[in-house]
Amino acid sequence: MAITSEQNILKQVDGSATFQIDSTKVISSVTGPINVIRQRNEEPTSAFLSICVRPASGLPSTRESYLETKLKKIITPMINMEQYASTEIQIVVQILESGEREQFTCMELSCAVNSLYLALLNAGISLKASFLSSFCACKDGNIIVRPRMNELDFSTSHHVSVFSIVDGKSDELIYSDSLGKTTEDELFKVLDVISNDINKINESVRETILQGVVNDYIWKF
Amino acid sequence: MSHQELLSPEGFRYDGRRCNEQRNFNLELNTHPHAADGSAICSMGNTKVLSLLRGPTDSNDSGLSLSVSIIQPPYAKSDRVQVSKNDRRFAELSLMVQRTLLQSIVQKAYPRTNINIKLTILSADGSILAACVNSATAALVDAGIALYDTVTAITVGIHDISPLIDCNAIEEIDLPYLTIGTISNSKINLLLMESKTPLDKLQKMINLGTEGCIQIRNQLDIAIRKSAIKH
Amino acid sequence: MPSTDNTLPIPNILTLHSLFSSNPPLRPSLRPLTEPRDLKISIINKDNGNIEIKLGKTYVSCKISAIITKPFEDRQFEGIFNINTEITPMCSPLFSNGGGNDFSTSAPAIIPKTVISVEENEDNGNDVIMGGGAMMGLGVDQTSIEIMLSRLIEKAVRRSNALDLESLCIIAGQKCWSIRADIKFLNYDGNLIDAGNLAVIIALLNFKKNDIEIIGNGEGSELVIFDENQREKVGLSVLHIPLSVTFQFFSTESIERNIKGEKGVISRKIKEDSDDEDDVNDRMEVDNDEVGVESESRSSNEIIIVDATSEEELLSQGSMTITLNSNKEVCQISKSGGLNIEQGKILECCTIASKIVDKWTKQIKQVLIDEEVKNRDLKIEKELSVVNDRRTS
Repeated sequence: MAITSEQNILKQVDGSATFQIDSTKVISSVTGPINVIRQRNEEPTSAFLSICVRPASGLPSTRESYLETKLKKIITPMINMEQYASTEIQIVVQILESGEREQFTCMELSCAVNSLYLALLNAGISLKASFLSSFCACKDGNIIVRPRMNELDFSTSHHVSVFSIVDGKSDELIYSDSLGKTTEDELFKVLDVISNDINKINESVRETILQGVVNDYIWKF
Repeated sequence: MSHQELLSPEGFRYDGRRCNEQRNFNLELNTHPHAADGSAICSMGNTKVLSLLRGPTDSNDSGLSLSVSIIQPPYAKSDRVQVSKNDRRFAELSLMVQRTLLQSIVQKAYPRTNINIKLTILSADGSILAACVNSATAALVDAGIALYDTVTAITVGIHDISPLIDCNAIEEIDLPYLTIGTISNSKINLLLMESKTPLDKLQKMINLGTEGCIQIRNQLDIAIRKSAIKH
Repeated sequence: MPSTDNTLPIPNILTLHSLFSSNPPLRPSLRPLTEPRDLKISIINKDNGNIEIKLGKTYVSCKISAIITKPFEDRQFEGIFNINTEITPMCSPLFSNGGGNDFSTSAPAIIPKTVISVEENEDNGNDVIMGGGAMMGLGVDQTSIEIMLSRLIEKAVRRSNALDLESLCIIAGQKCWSIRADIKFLNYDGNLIDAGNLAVIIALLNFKKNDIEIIGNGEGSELVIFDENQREKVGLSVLHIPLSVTFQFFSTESIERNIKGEKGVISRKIKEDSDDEDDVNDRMEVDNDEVGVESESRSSNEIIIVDATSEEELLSQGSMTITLNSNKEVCQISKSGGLNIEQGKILECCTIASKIVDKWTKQIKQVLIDEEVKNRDLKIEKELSVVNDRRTS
């Protein structure tokens, strides 16, 4: 399954990136640190994250707010929030193509996390660690990494995890979200599998970042 | 309603007017001297728009802030349909009226000022935007707001090859029509057309429209003078 | 600390200067005044009409979705077509989530006061307002931009009957297709209206819905939806291609002169002689006269440009949107406030718009043909041709 990603596509924002796994494509933008737009959001000791998720079609619903809270939980500990005291970091995640049915959010969440990571890097926001995400589905004890739409439909449980990256390898578990009937055994297996998969994703992502750095490097010979 | 009836071969329109004949235009200024700082009722045939202006009052913004709202109560039309509060069409219309008027006000004379215009469509029979603009202009004059010049507006429909001025609701349903607003020198300030028309007919419509605007302007002038004498 | 205004009007001085002080007027990009930027169309997903277009740096994505629903009570023989436009801070930090924000503080007026004095009193056109609002402190909110944007695109595409709604009816009064176009503005560099309009039309032309058939009559009839393996998907019936062209107006004259015309010119000239440093632009005016490019009878010196970039929009003093199709039918015209324009200029704009629309229509059609050639399934085509080829039997 193809992973494609690109950095620095949008010109008006500080950082932007797309990330695509199979038929799910997400574009994220990061602007910041900027002055807090609504005064009441200002926090004296840390940055305020405003995250906004927009669906591929239709108006934003509870599903999008659900994604927003999840993303906020994942991203907040990864950013050096204290460094940007009383500022705002404005994040927009636009889902361009949703490769899953409405009742699932795992593909979109995972792609959103990955594209946000690239966008944050592009915006030059100070991060505590690199992080990437992947997802899988389980059915009858089989684990399918990055399932397709119909594989997801017939699965008994699906999982999304985010791991930090250290020395080009997935390191610590940052976030894990499981839905459906699963056993403890299975869950640990799943985490192993996802951790391995993230190593693979990391190879492609690293290339994108490298490319991004080369493109941004203005003192070309 | 067939197109035949909208313009008879003899050149009469559905309501007996000629192509270039306006409906009865009536403008009254200072209709509500106690309720508002400036008020006017503009009627073009059966379309009647009341405008109430409040201001100039103080505001915190640096420049002039002009707000325009258009209300169409259910009794304006015979079908008595309630227009919802966030109707996009009326939001757009009020935005258009606001921008049109803003251009004619001497803005540098009103720093940190609020002007609030409320337009109520008492009766709707076509040419709503035009009547709103005319009525609001009159209200501005009545309130004594400094204007560079008055903006007047009118609609022009097109039936086959003959342009019809000042359309009523029946003509507006069946014919493509254009709302045109001009300021002195026949310069066009407002232009709105929402239906499909061949490009080559546009010139004719705009020509007649500017003529019509001049007529309205003269009538507006007379009405203003009349009200000035009265008070 | 950087603030929201990373569209600071520093380059605007260049824009303003190149537009007003050179003769003939020039754009900073040296693009001719009535030449639109390059249009790039990329079709992301052939079948669900997911497309992306780039008009210069303005980047818009549009996706079409179709579901089967019940038609409206008062329109039983028609399907439903909705266009959804939303602006997020993604396309420019000038916009905010949910709208209703005051932009008057977001960008300080960096342009020297003398230069902007003539535009101080301006009212701006569509998208321009937010820029104008930011700079001139008009405090125009995002809601009005969104209203204008969605209404203009809706009028251009929906009200001009570009999509044949009657063909979307399945069973009168019971079942119909509901088509929804979601326009996503990803990057703002001026001219969101034209770009949005282009995106919707191109997406509609590319979109294919599942084929359906009604089996049986009356009570026991059934609606069968075929997936793409069973039957080829069918396109929508798009009756014509309406495209918008937005013009931005600039003027070197003051608002009084724009309104009062001739008389103002003379009185201003006298003033000009007495007070030299009064108004930079007025002086420019006189310079033009000396060059003799336009004689005394010159009644207007509006500069009209198409397809403005964000910088140009920030400074524009008025705008007008004309929607046309290639049959030379005007689907919509909208101009409100802003600079007052003579009627001759308006007709001139129509001719310019018509040329641009022709050019874009040609390009769109070419893209569609290319796409068809690319997607042609040779194997199936061969099979089909065998069936039809009489010589083989």
